Amino acid sequence: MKLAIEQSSQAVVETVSPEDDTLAQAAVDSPQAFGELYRRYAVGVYRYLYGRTGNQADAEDLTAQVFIEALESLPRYRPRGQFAAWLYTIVRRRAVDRLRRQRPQFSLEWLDGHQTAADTPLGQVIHREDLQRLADLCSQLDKKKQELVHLRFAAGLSYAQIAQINGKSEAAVGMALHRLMKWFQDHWEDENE
Amino acid sequence: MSSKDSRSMIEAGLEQMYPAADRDFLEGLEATLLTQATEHTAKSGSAGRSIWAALGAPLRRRTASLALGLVVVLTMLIGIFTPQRVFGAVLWLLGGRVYVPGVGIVDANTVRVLAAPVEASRDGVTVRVVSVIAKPDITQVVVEVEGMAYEDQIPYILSSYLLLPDGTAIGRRLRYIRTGFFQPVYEFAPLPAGVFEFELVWEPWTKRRAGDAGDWWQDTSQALVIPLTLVPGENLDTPVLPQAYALADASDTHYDITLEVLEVIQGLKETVLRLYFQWPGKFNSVYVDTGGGMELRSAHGEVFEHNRFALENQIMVVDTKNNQAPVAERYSFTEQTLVFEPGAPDARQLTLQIDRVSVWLDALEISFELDLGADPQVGDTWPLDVWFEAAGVPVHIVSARLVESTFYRRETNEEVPVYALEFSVGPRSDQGNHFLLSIDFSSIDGVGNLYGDYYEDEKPHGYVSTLRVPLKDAEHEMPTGVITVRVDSVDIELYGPWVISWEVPNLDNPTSDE
Repeated sequence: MKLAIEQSSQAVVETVSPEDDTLAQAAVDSPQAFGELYRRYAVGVYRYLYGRTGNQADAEDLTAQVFIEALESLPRYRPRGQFAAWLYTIVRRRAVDRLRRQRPQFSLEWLDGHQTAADTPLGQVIHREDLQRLADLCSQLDKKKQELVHLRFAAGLSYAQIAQINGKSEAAVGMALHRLMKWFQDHWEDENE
Repeated sequence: MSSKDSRSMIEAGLEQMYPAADRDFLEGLEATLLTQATEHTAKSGSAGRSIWAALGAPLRRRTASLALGLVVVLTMLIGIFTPQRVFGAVLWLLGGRVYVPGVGIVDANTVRVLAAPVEASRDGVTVRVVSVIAKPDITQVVVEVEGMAYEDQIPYILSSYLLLPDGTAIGRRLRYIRTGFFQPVYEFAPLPAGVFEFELVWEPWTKRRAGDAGDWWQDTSQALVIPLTLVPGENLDTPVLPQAYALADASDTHYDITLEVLEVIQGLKETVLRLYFQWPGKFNSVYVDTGGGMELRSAHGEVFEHNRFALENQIMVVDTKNNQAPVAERYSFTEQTLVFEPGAPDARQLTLQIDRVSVWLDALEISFELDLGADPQVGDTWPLDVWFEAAGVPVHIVSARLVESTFYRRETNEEVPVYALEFSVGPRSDQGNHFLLSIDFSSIDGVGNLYGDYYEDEKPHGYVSTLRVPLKDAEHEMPTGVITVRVDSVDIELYGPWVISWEVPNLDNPTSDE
């Protein structure tokens, strides 16, 4: 009982996603393991990079670069339960390189060819115009806050993972997001008045 | 639209702002990467090994104790993630109080529930509805999906709906998607009274293109349709297992923040607590970091680990204990369900310890003056000795420095250079009972539209935070002389610990009215 508790505690404290580490270790020798990691993170990485670049071509190009670099760098990854943080270090470095001379913009261009939930009777609350207003609000955020939005809502990362990436406590991330949501809400309601 | 709804809509909208990746692109990149990975492993002489052999390699390299540790961890994870755990825990309890993973503790007498899990499959994807709780104010559906990565499920989560026999569709409530691990909770508007049979229509919104003719949402031919039948909660054949007991005055207070355990369910698989927060109006919100600094222990010193992977309902804007209406100004948690590993059956006393909570104070109405002099230049530093108290916590601003920064001007879509002031704050108290997380500066000298950066830049040893606030657009004149700096809000982490102990009643012979 005691041993189990200690080991469990160790796992909880040190790892957000222990399976990632196991896979990352295995992926050095196993293409299948790398494929599994890819499938776990590719969509989030793509969405994050789309949020940073605002266009599909850049997002796809950078996504490919990220995973090629990750593949080559995996032997140097030290499993400490921070695979997401390690991967997003690569992601963000690639994004910064690309955007050094380009202002990122939230773009809803991609919606042009797609039906959204907002366009259906089932999604009456969110309309295309609402998304545009949200995108406009996002454009007003400073880079740190935009980054929080990307990590949370595009990449779908947990507070713990964002905390690892940003070197903050989980509570600080939670509070920052909480406050950010209030900012959105205040501005949203202001515009509605 | 209420404030609560607008917040929910904003969160859902932010999720929808980003496109799904093109599937052809993802599959093509995966094929490319797998080819490269195979070449890598071939070069290292490892090609042809199975994934299982590869997974086992690290184990073989490690000591026996580490291997045992990994086994324990995997066992724990399997215990957490496998459906059996969820099945067994869907409804427990005497007295009508039940704990539903991902939903929380509910009163069985006021709900309609799914009697047994239901699943449907198509094209290698299995969707299993683990539980449904139809409450007067919301319908919650806990879903497991096999054969599809979680990321790919998001369009389905956003778009699924409930279809009633009369053709009425009930859309997803636009609350935050509480996902946990592999187990999203779909939240819908309340089911009409008397409805016990309906369907979950599970389909993604991204599969349809604009211009598709017809009312395609009425066409469920391509959706996975799962018929569901509910029963009244009180009709359930509830296993005689864990018994809920309510607590009175099981609380602890520091900084006027009271944490109280209202109710406990001690099961064979987990111990569930309802933790209630009460805080004075001076705090805008109180937040417990469930990532650490929390434990449940017996009087004998056994520690029962907090299960951070469990789905815990944290979003509450209603004062549940006092049954008050949602408080628009407080977007925070008033109640939190905490899940721990099961306590020892013979434990007669339990203690919950929460080491710290974070608080946010808004609208502080604190300001101070800074004399920039007649000709301020980038790089100038002004020593300060500004003290103010935020909810009893002293904050000391020790200097300000003029720097160059940038600001995004939305109208012209460009970065413009601005001047900014960096304020150094610290050091934090030697008493160690609080930690300043960050400060918001809302305006300087009336330049309020340039809301301040709030990020901090902690130094490794100095406990110094650097905060920036844009001062003036570079097109305008550099301010001179005395300016007024306004502090808008602060985040502070307060250390207790909050220690709450209670006697465990004799669960074999319940005497509680509960």
